[in-house]
Amino acid sequence: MDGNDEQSCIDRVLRGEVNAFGPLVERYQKPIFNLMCRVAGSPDSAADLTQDTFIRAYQKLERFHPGKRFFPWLYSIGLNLARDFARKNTRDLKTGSTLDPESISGCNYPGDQHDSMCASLEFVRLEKALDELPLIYREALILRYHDECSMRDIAEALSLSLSAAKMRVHRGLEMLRENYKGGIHGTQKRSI
Amino acid sequence: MERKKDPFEQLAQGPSAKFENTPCENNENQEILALKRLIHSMPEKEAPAGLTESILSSLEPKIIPRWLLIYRWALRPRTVTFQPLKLVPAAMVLVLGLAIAIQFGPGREDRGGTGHEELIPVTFTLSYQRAERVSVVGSFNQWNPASHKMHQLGNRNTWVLELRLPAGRHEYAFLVDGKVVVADQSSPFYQSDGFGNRNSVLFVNRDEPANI
Repeated sequence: MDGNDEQSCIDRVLRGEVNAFGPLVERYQKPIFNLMCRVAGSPDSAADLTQDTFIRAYQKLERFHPGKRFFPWLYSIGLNLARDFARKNTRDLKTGSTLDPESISGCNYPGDQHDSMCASLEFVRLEKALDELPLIYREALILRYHDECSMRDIAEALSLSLSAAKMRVHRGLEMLRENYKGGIHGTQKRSI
Repeated sequence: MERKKDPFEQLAQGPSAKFENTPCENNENQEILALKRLIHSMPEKEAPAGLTESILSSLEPKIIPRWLLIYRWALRPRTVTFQPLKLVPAAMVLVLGLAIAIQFGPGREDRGGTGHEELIPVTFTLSYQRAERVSVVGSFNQWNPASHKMHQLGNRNTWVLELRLPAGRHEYAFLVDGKVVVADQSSPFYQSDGFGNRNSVLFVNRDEPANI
């Protein structure tokens, strides 16, 4: 599905076809769900927030500017909901790993067990280091190096100027490096 | 979302030439590259099964005003492509069409009034004895005595000038030797000039030339 297909889906939705929204949900539910997992911690809350994000996007779809990319616009809606959730639930936020080592491994061969375990620990450590970053720095890094978004898309998703988005990515990498080198610091409070 | 091939894998496997300045910088950049690679390959959780159905079931069909749909259609960027080889004949056809429209299109006779074919030949004649020079002055030449000088015929008393004038009403008179204003005695229509003289009035028809 490319930009034209997305625009076609949006046009059909605006003409009253609810099911035309399905391909957009299918395509982007995973990154939005993972965003919510990073913020909410629990999969149940993340699923609720993901659902709210898509419903909010559907309600505001006529405000989506034709010709722009859908994902950064959707991500900005999700990010606003995530911020609201984080403000209301600061005390309940989990600071432990949201990664499930069993799902990371995915390999049952005895010879690969050690490597898989090391990789799992690396990811857990990375997640801890990411978790200590302010939300906007963390999401800038995820969008840039995990979802491979352009700087322009990151700027739109984070509601920043292009230069501010570049600065967040650059500064976020430096902060992540410091956190990662410093190791896991236990229960440090999340920044929003 | 489609996952591309890991772009940081090669960078992390061997030091890039531009990071080989100092051991300190090299170590620092290697750490950054390793982090980028780690973020890139970080596993994702799968969204819960049935989430799409759950979302779609909670949505109501949208009812958008037609003007908004048209507005959004007009806002959408479009890409226009053309081939130069096809553009040249298209431009030639366009120019040819414009030329035909200008030549044969409606309203051609009403435009400007300066075309040669729109002027009707009119011959002015004056019999006047002992004149040195005679001019025709009128509304068609802004009463300029130098613009339309008459010519003598063989008998020396007859002055003639042939002009081509646009159809319509014209006032005129003859100016003899630059000072005597003489109205055309053969004209049935006159108009006072407000200074005690009379100007002759000429009606030029589109269908027939005039001899005055």
